[in-house]
Amino acid sequence: MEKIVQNTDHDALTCKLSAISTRYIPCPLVHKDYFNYNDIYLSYYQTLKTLLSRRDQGSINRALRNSYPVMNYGTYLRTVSIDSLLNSYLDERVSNEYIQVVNLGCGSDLRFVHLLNNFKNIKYIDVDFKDALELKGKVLRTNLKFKQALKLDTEIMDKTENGSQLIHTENYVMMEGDLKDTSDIITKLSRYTDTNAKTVFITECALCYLPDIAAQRLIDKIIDTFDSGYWISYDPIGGNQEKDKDRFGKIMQDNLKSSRDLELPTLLKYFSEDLYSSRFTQHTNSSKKITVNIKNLWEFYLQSINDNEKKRLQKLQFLDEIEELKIMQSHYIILNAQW
Amino acid sequence: MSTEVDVDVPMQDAEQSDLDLELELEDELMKPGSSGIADHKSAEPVKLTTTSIGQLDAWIEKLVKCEVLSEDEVARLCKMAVDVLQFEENVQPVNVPVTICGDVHGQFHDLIELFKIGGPCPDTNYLFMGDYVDRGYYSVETVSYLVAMKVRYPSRITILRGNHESRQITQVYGFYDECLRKYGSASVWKMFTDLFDYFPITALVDNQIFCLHGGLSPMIETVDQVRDLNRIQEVPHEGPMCDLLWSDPDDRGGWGISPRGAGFTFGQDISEQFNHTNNLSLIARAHQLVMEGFSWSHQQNVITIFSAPNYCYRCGNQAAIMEVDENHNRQLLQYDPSIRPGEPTVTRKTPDYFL
Repeated sequence: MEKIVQNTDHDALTCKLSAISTRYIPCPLVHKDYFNYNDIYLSYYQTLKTLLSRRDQGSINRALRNSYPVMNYGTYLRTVSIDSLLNSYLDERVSNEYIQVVNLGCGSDLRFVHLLNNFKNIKYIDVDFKDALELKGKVLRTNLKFKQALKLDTEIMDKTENGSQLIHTENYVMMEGDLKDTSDIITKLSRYTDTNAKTVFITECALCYLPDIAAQRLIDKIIDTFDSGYWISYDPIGGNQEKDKDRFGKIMQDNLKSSRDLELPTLLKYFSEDLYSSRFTQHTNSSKKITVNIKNLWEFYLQSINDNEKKRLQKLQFLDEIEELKIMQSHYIILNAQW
Repeated sequence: MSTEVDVDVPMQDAEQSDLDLELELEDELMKPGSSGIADHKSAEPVKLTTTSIGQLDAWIEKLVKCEVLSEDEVARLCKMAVDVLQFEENVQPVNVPVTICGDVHGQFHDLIELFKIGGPCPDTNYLFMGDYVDRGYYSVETVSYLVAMKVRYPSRITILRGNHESRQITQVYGFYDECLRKYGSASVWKMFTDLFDYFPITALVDNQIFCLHGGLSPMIETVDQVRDLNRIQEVPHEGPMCDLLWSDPDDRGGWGISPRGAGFTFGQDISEQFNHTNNLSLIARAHQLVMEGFSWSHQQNVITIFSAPNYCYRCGNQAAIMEVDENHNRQLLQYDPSIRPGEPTVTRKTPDYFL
């Protein structure tokens, strides 16, 4: 099961590379200060390829060639929605405060490269399974660009992670762990972070793979442990089968189960924006006040992408799938929860 | 804005070969007519011979089992089809009763389901409004089957051109890749896309229902103006022929810019005027995914029909077809994806999701 979930990172990376090569991302507004966006991802992919099996290489290459505009749009919206929340949170605070960013289930995401480059006052923790992080660590160490950018020569060796490939520098830490094992995650987080400092948590298609109880425990424990935080979450939601006869979630679950044995345990339970955000608001263990905002990505496209940017996107490829884009994007949400 | 991307990297050149997703097809490949299927067109309509009927029946029997024809058979089929379609009109007249269908998009098994719901062809007359290829996994089988039926029963089935019946779009949305995968070369793709140039672009059912894939054009006020177009060409990027295959009805009045990047949106005022000017009762069109399989708009001046259930194996929509009987009574029939006994209900290949 772990391997199956980890493989979804290939999908995420492939989608991102495709959206980059077709110029959806970087977004000229949200990513204007993200230096060498394309270069960073292409460079990562180039090195990664040398470490992957031919089979994995082949499947990524094939997927890249067959990527439809509707997928590129979706990847753009996913990336831009998360990065714009992240940027505005950091922009407001980071000049006079120390901020920690924790990406739970980070996979091959490379946000830390931009953030560490743009903001001096932050620490970034990438959390994932050991295998995933070791592969990522290997890529970053092998590739000279990353090695220099991350100052890996002056790396602090983490005594507790004996002999592992995981990277541990002053402001970037790879923390291995299983998100289902909440107490281990919290113990390690307490070691690498200051629980009194403002901390951003990112779950980008991560909560959706966890069993309900494990996901809820993770949310509750993190909110309990960290004095002040900001949670950014991107996930699919199933849609209302009863009321709207919406079959998207059911079909998605069946498709992913039968074709790759991938489970989405909470997709149909928290099938709406309200139900999804209730996992953050129903938090009763503490007296902390939590403000939650959520919208689906179709709303995000309509409301948060300005007309010029929409026009830019329209020029990239013919989008003959506008209705399909709407259906798909109404079944993905972007949430932010602040406490 | 794109210059920001352009100046980015010395690296990008080195990566180009890996990530260059634009298919750089040779000019020769894109040239209309290069397949040769229309090199020896007949000067007048050809009658089917016993031999050609036998041949077509054998092909149909094969295709209905979702088996592809050989490259040579496709070549022969396309040559026969050119000689049928070249004599059809830009506004092909169709009689009632007829069953009007929307997008199929390579969902072959659902097309077979459609014929179960609507009744077998040729007993039932059919009018398809385009988009046979792309997106689904069986574009080759779908378009081969429909073209074979067209040649076999030319007066029983009408197949219009959709915006996906084009060289450019099929390179992005799958038909090109599928041909390459199933035949090992682009020649079958070349034959079919050359054939698409001959498909009629609109139909007129009993002078009352105007049928087309997309919608209206600001450059077309009368049905006669459609008759004046030269349709035998690749779907242009703009102009009346492009609009007929790309436009969408909209809640806003007048003409609007289409979010698809081609064609226009048109309001109820435009539809009413067009129907009034041309003495029509209805515009029937396809092109847009609608969850119920059909959707009325512009106070019943326009109907959208979409015949690919659970579009792309993930959208969860129903499909529909519209029967129009001798007395012009209309009946809409909805259906769900076919369930094939002994096969998983979901396809082996995963549709794309964001994971």
